[in-house]
Amino acid sequence: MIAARSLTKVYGAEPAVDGVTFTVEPGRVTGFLGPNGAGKSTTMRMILGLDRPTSGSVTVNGRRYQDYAAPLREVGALLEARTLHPGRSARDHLRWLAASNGIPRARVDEVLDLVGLDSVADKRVGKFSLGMGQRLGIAVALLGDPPVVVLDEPVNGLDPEGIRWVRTLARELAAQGRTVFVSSHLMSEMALTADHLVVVGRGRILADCSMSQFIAEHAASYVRVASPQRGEVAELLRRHGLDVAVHDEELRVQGLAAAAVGELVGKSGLLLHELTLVRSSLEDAFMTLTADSVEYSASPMAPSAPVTPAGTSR
Amino acid sequence: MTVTSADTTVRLDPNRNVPGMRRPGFPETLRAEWLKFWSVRSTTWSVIAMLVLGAGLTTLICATNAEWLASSEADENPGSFITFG
Repeated sequence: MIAARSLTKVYGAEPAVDGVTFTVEPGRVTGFLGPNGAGKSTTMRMILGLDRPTSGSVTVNGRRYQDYAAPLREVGALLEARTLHPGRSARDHLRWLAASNGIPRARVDEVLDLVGLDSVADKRVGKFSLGMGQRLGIAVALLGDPPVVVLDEPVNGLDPEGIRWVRTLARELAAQGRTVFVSSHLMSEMALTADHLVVVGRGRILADCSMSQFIAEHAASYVRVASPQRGEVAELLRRHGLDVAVHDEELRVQGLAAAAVGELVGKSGLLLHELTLVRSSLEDAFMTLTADSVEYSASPMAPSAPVTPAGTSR
Repeated sequence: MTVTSADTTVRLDPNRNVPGMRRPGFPETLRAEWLKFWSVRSTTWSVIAMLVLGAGLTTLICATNAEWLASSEADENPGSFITFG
């Protein structure tokens, strides 16, 4: 279990993490989600004792990371997979880490086998691809057979097969009763992996709920209606107190189920060409939730700028 | 509404521990540092280079001056000459 209590980290004048309180429970995968610069990595670094909180505290199974004699056996972490000596082989890298935490030598071969790096274990890690580096990082995280596993953007640089592997692994670790905390900036990825979500933006918690609750609360839905008698249908639905928006050829109706909308229209003898329930994707829900907290957002290109060269007519 | 709640989760097997784990102390730290020291190739090359430059140069200098050292006009003790290199 990871417990953060009013955790705050201030860099200069800007708070990177601003009074964050959450609990990561064992036995399930908790997704840690937020746009770039939301404070995800800073929070994770504080969990691992790499950054000192300005105020507040964070504990892993009741103690701070730095108070453990053999932290690799309590918390397995993948932060940045590239922070290792490029001249050392994967096996040697794991061997020295194991030795420093009193982990027997045999465990090294076990985790190499587990992440599928056994065939390249004696190759120097500087020659590893991004995906192989990521796998080695996960091997490091699992080296001490820890009850708490923290993975920062574990699918970065992995191929589709690797992504599926990480997803399955995270779920398996949770099913064994471990605490699994996975960060990502991709909602679609989390939707397939996590049971519980902690969403942050600008250093604050925006949502802390189960995945299904998140979908129910934040994924907007509407009924798409297409009709040759668009005007009359819109008027009818508005008269019944429904929210109707006109988009080109279609009407978007909110506030009533598709079947009920169809019955309503049918009773008044109007024609319908289409009637569909449209649920916005989780990605959209996440975007809406974090819209105000995106640090670097691209503004749409100005349409007024005349880009057509002189002489060509449009 | 919640899919998983804390009380329905599986407890982590307390006997899952990897056998042979020790509480790390000074010997473990020393072992780790030793592994780190020797598992990069530059360590081996540095030691070889040190031997070549140290012992090799001594041998070379002594060999070229052997005749002078052995002669009667040498004002240097052969022992101190060797350690000089």
